[in-house]
Amino acid sequence: MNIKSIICLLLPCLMQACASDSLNSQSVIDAATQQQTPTELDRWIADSITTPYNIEVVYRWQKNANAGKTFVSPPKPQNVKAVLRAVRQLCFDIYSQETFGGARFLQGKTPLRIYLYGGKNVDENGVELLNNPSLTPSEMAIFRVDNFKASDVNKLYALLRSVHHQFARRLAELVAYDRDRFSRISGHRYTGSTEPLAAPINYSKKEKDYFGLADYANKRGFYTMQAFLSAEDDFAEIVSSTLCATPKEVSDAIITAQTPDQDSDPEVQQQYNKEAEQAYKEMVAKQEFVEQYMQKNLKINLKQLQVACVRSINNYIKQHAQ
Amino acid sequence: MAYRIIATLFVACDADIDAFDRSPAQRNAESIAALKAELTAAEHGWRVLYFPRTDSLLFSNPSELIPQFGFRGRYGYGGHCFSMKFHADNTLEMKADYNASTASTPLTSEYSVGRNSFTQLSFVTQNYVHELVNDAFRASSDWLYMGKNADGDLVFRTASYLEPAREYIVFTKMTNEEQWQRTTNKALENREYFESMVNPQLSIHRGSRTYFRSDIYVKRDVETNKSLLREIKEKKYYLFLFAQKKNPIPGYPAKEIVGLGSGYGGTEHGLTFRAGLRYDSKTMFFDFERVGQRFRAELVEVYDPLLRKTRLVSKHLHPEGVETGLVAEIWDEGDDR
Repeated sequence: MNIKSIICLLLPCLMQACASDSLNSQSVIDAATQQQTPTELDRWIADSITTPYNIEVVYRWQKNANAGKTFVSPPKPQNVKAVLRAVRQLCFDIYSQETFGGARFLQGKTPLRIYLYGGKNVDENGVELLNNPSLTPSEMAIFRVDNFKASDVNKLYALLRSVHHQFARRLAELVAYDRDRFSRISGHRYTGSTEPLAAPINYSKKEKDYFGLADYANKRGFYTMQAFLSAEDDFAEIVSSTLCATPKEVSDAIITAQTPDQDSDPEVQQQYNKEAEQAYKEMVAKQEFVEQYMQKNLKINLKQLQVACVRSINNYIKQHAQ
Repeated sequence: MAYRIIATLFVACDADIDAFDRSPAQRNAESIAALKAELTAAEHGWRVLYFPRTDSLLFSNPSELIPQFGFRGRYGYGGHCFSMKFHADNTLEMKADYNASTASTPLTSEYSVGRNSFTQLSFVTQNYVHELVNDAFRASSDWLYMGKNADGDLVFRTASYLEPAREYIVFTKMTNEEQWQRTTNKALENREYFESMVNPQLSIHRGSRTYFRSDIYVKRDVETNKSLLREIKEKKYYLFLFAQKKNPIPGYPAKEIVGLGSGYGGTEHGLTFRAGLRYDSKTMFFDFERVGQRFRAELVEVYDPLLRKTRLVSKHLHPEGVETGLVAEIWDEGDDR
């Protein structure tokens, strides 16, 4: 009798052997009991953000939510409401106005989750970023909650630039644009890292200069410094910086791009002229591309949206100034 | 071979034998509940020392030459003293020795105790401790519970470092309300006293034999030295320097320098240095007691019955210890020039 036949004989025993075993009454799965009792703030978030907009708001520290290389900490709970109110009123509610997307526009388009953090989001090169690059666009990260003040132009600007940037990414994720065509326009200029940006960007101290339309960027065909990072950043930055700037500021930025630097050497001057021409060409091409995308794919006129946004920002500051 | 297979077949479904008598989820829940119970049991709270970025190899060899320009900008980091009171509803009150207002005004925030690979205490909403979460101090909001040390204090670490001695988090139970009221204020007062010293110097000696004595005037208040003064204050690190070979030209920097340095922080008794003023692998000074205008640490030998080892600790923390005569003292030499 060889081994195989022994096993064959015993196989039926094996099959029956465990039939009478009962399941353990204790589950091996964690009961995941909630440790925090919901506060007044939690209820406000549930009623004002989660239910109407379908967004989960995370303001308590969750270590695994932040996989970036920056040192961030949870926000002061007393500032959370003010920040969320500003985000709701100055971003989401404008998109859902009748003139633009309409009441049903936001359905399925808002980010699924918003993370709030207290301090700045400074990366390893010392450059402050508007988003957490390790998150997908369906999650939004809002930084600088601790020193937010609704009446302060600069603080509000930093917040809205970040929110519009991330929401533009979210929209571009859901309603696609022709990425190949867009990234070809300034394809050779993207740095992929903040390292080369650290020196020119850190001259700016005020938020509006730091995140705003910058001469250095304009002269290289970009709206802002953060746009250098990638084509996706560039696209989101065009939407975001446009919505936070007046039409005149944007046209001034384009004039800056068009204006060559001056040099007494004719050869150098010729080079400067060429560079300015190229920067202008790229900037206008990208502007047109984004405007067309908004018009055709989202049925929103970017210029009108810009005017509505800027007006609401100004009104918002006035309202909270008292 | 065949018999072996048969033998295994017969024992296969014997009684349920588990290495543990409870499920992993239950054991997780138990360790979470145990730590929470431990934390909330201290009704007068805990004194917490947090040094988020220590380095036991930095300026810890008193015979190694330090280049003239080899220490500016290379200082390590010190730490802070906190008082924390944990409540059962997952809130805590915290005071910190940053300044007079943070030392006397408790701030309430939420905490949670969870578990991944270790039982973990997380400060989930903003409090004083988060002020150290920046690219300089590199503190963390999640502390992993490592157990108790020989004194019965709770020891934590964070997931930021794999190496040992990269951070120092120790919870000491406070025994009366007076301690809760005064600890952070006293820690601030002692730290500020040390920081106000014009020219602090360190001496390590046993009886009349001096092992180390610093003599270089590090905190000279001149324009070219401003960045170093700022560095000392911002990083909370002090380096005691000794001119091993003086410069023959008076007033010129020494030709050969050695030194001992460590991050510092205030405590209710005086100062604490982490990763310590390490003279050698045995003689290390951590806790200093303020005696008048000096800070003093006298080492005594204490036997640890758990580890069956003797260790050297400061006398003011263990008055029962056996005297060794090893003393370190910090005093203000004053501006002699």
